[in-house]
Amino acid sequence: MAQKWRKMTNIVETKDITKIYKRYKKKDGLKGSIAGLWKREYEEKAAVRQMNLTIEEGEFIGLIGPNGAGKTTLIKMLTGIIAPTSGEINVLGFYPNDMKNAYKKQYAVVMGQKSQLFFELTVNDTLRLFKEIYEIKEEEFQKNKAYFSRLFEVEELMNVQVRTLSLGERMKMELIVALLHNPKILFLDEPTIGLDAIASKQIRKFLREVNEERGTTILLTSHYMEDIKALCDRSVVINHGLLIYDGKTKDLFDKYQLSKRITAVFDHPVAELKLKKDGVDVILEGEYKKIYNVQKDMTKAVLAEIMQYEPDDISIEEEEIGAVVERIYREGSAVYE
Amino acid sequence: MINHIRKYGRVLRELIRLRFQNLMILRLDFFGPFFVDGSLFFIQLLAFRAIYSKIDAIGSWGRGEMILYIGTFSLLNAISMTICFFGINGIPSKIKSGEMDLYLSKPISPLFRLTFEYVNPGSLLLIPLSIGIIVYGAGTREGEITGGSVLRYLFWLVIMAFLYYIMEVLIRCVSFFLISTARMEQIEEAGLMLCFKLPGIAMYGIYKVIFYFILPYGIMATLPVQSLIGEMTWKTALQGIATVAVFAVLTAMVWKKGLRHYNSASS
Amino acid sequence: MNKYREIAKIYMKAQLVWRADVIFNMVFTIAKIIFAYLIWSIIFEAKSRVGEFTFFGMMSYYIVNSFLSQLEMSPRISNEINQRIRNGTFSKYMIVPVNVEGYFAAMEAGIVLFYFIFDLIAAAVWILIFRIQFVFTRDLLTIVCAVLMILIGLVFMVQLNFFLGLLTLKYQGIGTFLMIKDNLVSLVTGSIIPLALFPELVVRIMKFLPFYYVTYLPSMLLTGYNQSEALYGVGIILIWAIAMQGIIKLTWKQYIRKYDGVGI
Repeated sequence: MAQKWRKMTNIVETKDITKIYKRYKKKDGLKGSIAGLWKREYEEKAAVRQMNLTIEEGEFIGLIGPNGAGKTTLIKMLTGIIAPTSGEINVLGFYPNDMKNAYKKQYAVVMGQKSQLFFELTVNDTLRLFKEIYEIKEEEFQKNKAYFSRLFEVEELMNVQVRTLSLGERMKMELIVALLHNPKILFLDEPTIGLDAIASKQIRKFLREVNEERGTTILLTSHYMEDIKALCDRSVVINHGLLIYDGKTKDLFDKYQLSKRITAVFDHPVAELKLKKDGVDVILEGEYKKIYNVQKDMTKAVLAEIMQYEPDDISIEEEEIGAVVERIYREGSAVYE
Repeated sequence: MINHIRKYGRVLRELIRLRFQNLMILRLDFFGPFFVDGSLFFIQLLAFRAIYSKIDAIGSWGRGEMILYIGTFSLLNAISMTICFFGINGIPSKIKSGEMDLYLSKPISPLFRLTFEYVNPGSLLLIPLSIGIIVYGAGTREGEITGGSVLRYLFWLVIMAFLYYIMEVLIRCVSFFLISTARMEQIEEAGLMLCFKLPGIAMYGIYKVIFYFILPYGIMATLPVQSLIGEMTWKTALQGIATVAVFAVLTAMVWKKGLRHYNSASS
Repeated sequence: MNKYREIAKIYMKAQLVWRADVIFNMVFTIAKIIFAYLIWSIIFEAKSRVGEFTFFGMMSYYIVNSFLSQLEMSPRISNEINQRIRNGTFSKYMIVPVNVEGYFAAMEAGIVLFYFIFDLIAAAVWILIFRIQFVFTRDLLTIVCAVLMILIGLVFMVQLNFFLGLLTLKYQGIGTFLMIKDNLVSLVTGSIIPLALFPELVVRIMKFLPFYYVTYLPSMLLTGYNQSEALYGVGIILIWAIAMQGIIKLTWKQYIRKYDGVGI
């Protein structure tokens, strides 16, 4: 049935998928609570609305959106953990919510908030269980384990109790556990949440390598623009359950990321900078530290000016995700081909 | 098919191995369940004694049969505690926290994994204790016990251990449909407590309907004992088998439906 | 005081959201009474008296006792403290400007008050349906003593569970111990069978324990037994409560430094 509209190279296709949750609307106060015992009002909340999404084999796609946009719900539908309220889904020729083992063997999912590892034991212990669950041959198991532990640079941590690992090390282990069976698709839900810059950077490097070397298709959600910008050629932005942008990541940032944040720190007191440029918002103007929001095309000029005051340190950050999403949202949805 | 069984066998071995290693690290947890269950067992025995010290017989059963009964019930309980109770008992909280996601996204039956993930070697000690009570009960009784009746008894014991298991699962499946904080298990607890003290043969009227067909805790230890002492009729036997079959089908259906209904908690 | 009232209120409201729980709790109270009815009706078939109980005396005891023991919900306190200390989220209670024990007591009060109303309705309905000739004492002093004992008893159980929860700070694997305690408490508070059915010696030992006075003695008093122990019982449980408070104070001071917030 669904096979007709499935091209060979597309491994994920969804057509108008919608997920509606019901939630209990409680009136305020004790009176409201008591009233709620007998009669309850529910409101329906669409976590994902009529979404059409196609992913080709080997892609590295970023899924962007603020909290509650529907990213996790989408991933849960694609992995079959929950069923969509309506619409069609086809992943690798399967309808995910049928929960066929043949399908489960072809994907992996890593949720930044939920751990697969046994905390009291070592990673090797957990891996052996997964070897049996995924029916991985001993030879392949050893090969993959060696490959990933080398790639992630955690060879000497494989026999350490998981609870003693740092958050960054733990996330690497989660990825190894997930990748052990060579999944065709890897769903990553906030893999860098809570990690520091160095650990996130390492994780990004590994993910790129997995995508390029192994050809694993990866769908990544993240709060951090850095993750998406560094990894994903293509981005999908969703907000309030609606797909509002689908296209090249580069275009997304060129078009919608209008400003950068520049932070300059001085080791000597510096009076107010007399910046000549328009399009510079002052966020903080201290003697030792100054923060500006600068329009993207002005960055170069403003930087040059700041340099004249001999800053001790200077940093340039991407605009945060919320602002970008809001801008796209205001302009109306923009689906680029 | 063979491969399938082999795979599950290997996964089972891994689950048990992991569980053992885990228990070795948290040493106290190893015998913890034994003491928890042992104390409960002891309390039940005390209560049982206090109640029945006042009367000599219930229906056709005298003291010996009653001891057989309580021994059988605690044996069923011990089997469940050793193998599956702790895993199954975790189902509601896994549904609530959304941790069930991790079980659903693996190519292995989630129920299989949950059943054997938390085996409890510590509770093993309860098994010989229960058997001791059964042997003592058999000795107290006057009638003769043949090899054939022991075999019949074992057959019913296995069937009833299975019924015990599916009831545990069935009751916890409620969490798929209702968001509640663990009150449903209280019904199970109350039913078990009652039937621990009162064999099914003593039940009458609406109670018999409840504990034979709705919450079939009343038949779990009753039928094996009846088969052992040669009191079982063909009618009771067929009824028992039918009850187990109906509950097995029901549990399978509710579990399947529950998985479909599962609305994974966010994040 | 206001803040504790608000804490109680918010937990009361939280109970109402779990609609299924309210129903289960009522069903459970009812089930316990029905089950007791079943087992004792069989035993009383052969005899008209068991110990000092008549059938209706026994049933009245079960109704009052199961009603009271449904109200005793303090094990959730020790379990919550235990879990939170283990996973490092106990800090939630340490950073708010309230007395932690007071917080838990208020929480308990809110929940108990809520269930008090529902369980009362359930018990009344079942007395009517089963046409039980409910035996209840008419002596005012006994009633006053019983009510006092119940109140102090509930406070004592909160204290005890708070204390046991705190022990997690020193002894990690206390979860098992808590479960054993719950089992024993269910026996010595007489919620399984009236303690009077046990041998004399057992009863005498139990009288030294505070649990005897939490739900067992009040149930007996309200159904017209053991009148002579009324005043004496109030005194004993009061002493236990005061002593417990002293122990908590000492423990809290000593142990709270040990909290390292590991986990999160």
